[in-house]
Amino acid sequence: MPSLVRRADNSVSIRSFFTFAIVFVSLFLAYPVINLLASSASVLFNTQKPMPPDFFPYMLKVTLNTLYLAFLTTVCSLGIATPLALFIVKFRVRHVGLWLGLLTVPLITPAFISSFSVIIILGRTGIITKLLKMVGIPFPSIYGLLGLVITQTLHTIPYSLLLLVAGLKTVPRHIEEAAQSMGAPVPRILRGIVLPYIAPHILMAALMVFLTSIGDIGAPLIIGGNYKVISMEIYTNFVSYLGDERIPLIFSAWLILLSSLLMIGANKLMRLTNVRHKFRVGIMEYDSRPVRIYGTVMLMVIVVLMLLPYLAIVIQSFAVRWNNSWLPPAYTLENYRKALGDHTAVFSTLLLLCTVTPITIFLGIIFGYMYSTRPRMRWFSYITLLPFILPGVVIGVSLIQSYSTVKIFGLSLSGSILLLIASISMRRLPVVLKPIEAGFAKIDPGQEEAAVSLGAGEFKAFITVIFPQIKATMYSAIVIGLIKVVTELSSTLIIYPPGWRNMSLYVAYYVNEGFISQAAAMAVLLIIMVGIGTVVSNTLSRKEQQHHG
Amino acid sequence: MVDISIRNLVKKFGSSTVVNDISIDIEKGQMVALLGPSGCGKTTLLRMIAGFEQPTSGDIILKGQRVNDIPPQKRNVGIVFQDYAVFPTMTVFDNVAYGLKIKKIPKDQIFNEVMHYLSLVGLIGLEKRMPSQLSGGQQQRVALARALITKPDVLLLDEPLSNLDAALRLKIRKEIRKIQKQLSITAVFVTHDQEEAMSIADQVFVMRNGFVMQGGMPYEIYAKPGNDFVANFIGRSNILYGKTLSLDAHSALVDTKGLKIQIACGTEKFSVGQDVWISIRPQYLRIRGRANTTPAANTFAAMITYLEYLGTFTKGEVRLADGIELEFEFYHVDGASDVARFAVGDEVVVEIDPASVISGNTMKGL
Repeated sequence: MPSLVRRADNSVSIRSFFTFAIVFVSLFLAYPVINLLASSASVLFNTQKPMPPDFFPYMLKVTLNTLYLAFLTTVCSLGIATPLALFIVKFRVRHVGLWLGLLTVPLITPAFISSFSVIIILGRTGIITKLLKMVGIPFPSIYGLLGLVITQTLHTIPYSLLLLVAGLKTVPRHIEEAAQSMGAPVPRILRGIVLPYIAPHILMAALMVFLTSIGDIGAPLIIGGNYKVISMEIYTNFVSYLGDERIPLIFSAWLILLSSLLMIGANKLMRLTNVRHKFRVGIMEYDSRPVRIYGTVMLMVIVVLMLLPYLAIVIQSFAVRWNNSWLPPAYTLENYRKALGDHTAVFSTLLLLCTVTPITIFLGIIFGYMYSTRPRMRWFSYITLLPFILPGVVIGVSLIQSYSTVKIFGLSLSGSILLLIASISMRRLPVVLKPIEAGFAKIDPGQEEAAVSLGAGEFKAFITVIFPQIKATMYSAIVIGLIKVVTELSSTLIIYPPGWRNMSLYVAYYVNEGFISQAAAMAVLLIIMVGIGTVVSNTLSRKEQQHHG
Repeated sequence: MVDISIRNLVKKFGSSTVVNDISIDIEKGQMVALLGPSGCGKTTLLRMIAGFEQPTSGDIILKGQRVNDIPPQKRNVGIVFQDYAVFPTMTVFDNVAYGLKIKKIPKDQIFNEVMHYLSLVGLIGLEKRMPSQLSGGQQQRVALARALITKPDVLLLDEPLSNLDAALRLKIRKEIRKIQKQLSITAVFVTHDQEEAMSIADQVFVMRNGFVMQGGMPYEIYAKPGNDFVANFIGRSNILYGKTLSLDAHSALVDTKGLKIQIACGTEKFSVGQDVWISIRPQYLRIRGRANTTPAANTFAAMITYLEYLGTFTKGEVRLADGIELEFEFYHVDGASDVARFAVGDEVVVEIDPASVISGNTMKGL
């Protein structure tokens, strides 16, 4: 029995890794969240200092606002992504690789940069606003619900699209052929057979978009105007001296509850609608020239519309000023000089990258390995998955609330970037862990058992047999981790120590202060940095995959 | 009356020709099996009849109408797939009703029809189940009812039994055949299993590399294979190649690598010095002990090299003096004593009745 072999000699070292990872996550995720829930309950039910009577109507209003925004964003995002995915997978539109490649730009860009770019083209002096004004269509103010929906839709379309495309690729062609042979026309097959088949993917995409919207703070901060949403109320009440310090606690707990309910509901629906086809028979493509041309044009238009804001950022970054004109009157490199001149921002981002990425990858590998070889420990995956549904602000608030007074070697945790590193590591753990887990799932457990039976200790077997096989997955996890670390804003906003600033904070700060060109330059640098990281890791990953045939 | 007529059909994928100038006529109410190893083009041929693949050249004529340019939706064919392809998001009832709903049949009529076809395939009582709650056999029955309910002109079955376990395969095979006869529907059955093809079909077309090697009734294919490939592919067989040494009106002596075998085919078929193949079915090889044999035509000294006990019969291999190995099998008519007759290493004599040897001169390779 392999499980008996595992208990032998070397298992101590592997177990100590497990223990370390579990303790780390318990300290910086589980405990703070539980603590937050407990404190919010005690605040809420404190009879000595009850909440003011207008608190609950206010909470209801903010909640409804948040849910309404998330609902609209989800509908828009899926409404656009679904036909696009159908065109891509089912109608062989031209140059799919190019379009999907271009769509990764919004993927690797932080949400707050999307809202910033929306301001540049749709704001009061934006190009499209002006264009519309010229033809006599008054464009309403972008600050508020409209801007939020546009920004969040723009930001989430690539996520929805990729999930739906992946889903459509699982539909076996035979069920569509069976329907065809019974006389069903193509639109009816797509509506009645194909879309219900990928219901779990649609639900997953909807859940992701909905949670992203609920947890988003960048867009509400930059473009939200007076439209109050939960995450923003947590933030403003947290940073403002005039704010009620109980509100972040209660709202955070409320967000945890809402997100968890959503997750549970969506999971249940996904299980209900999940169909697994045992046989691989390839996918059905429909050969219709008109639809293919229409699809190609539509995809092109959407991609251009989605990339236009980013082009605007690039132009803005070279602009001296850009008001009320089609293009900036004069160009300069001054913005870049200023952005790069702020060494601390670039340095801080690099520092975060160099600390957080290895921590998350390390934890990801440990947990991925633990879940694949220790079925009894799989319950812990509910905890490591938690940050996927918890907004960054909530994680930030929970950590500050639990550790603001703790000191290590005389160094205050909240006053240094240690807490920030822990926070971002926790927040990004699920996105790194998921692909690693999938990588482990592909490995035949028999291999490790064979190595152990040949006399290798478990640690040795892991390093020599298992680890080389997940290297490719690890590189892709690094890409995701990298992107997610650089673009993190919401928990950073809550936790960053006084005077400290990284690139994403820099952008958010200068946008808010109105130094748009300077913010744009930093945003471009940030995108370039992520882009380089992505290319390098992708190359490594591809090499590794080729290496393993 | 011919229901399906295939005329000089060719299908190329890039530079490879998957279906190569095939012409077949299928009579109304017949079940035809397309039989061949994987990659022989049988499924592609079926998919062209269904309309899922476009022929490169040639014609497909269904009920007298050329259908090459008619989309699958309008061909009125029913199709059953190897992977069942039941709609996983619909109940059994909705699966079977789907084709009628497309045709906008009134609801009460749909109900009656669905129930009728569900009873035909033995699924009454399961109409509210989802496919995930059904076994493979039940799913295949749903697929069959779904394909039949629209009363298609032609029923196409693409290896419908391959994913079922052995016992179920026999059962569903019988059911499909019964239902097909009962409805007297023209059907094309694709399979790589020769026993399946022989048992279910009125006509079998043996295919290889895009060509039809031979078509005919199962008995003909088995007893009178047109070439060495069919002789080897249908049933078990020892195939030997050689040259005719001498001939008379009704028999010939064939030399296969030094082994001289008498066969019951004469000048009407062969000439002297001709390259021929011969096929000896394992069950026609007589194995006897060395002591109790008298030398006769086609008796060869041999040694048993392999034995396999299979319940009702025993399979084995003998090596002849010149190194030729032949498979044999014999049924246990006398029970245990029969089984214990031989052991590996026994020196024996092999006897081959010339009348049981099948031969020919059309070589296609094995």
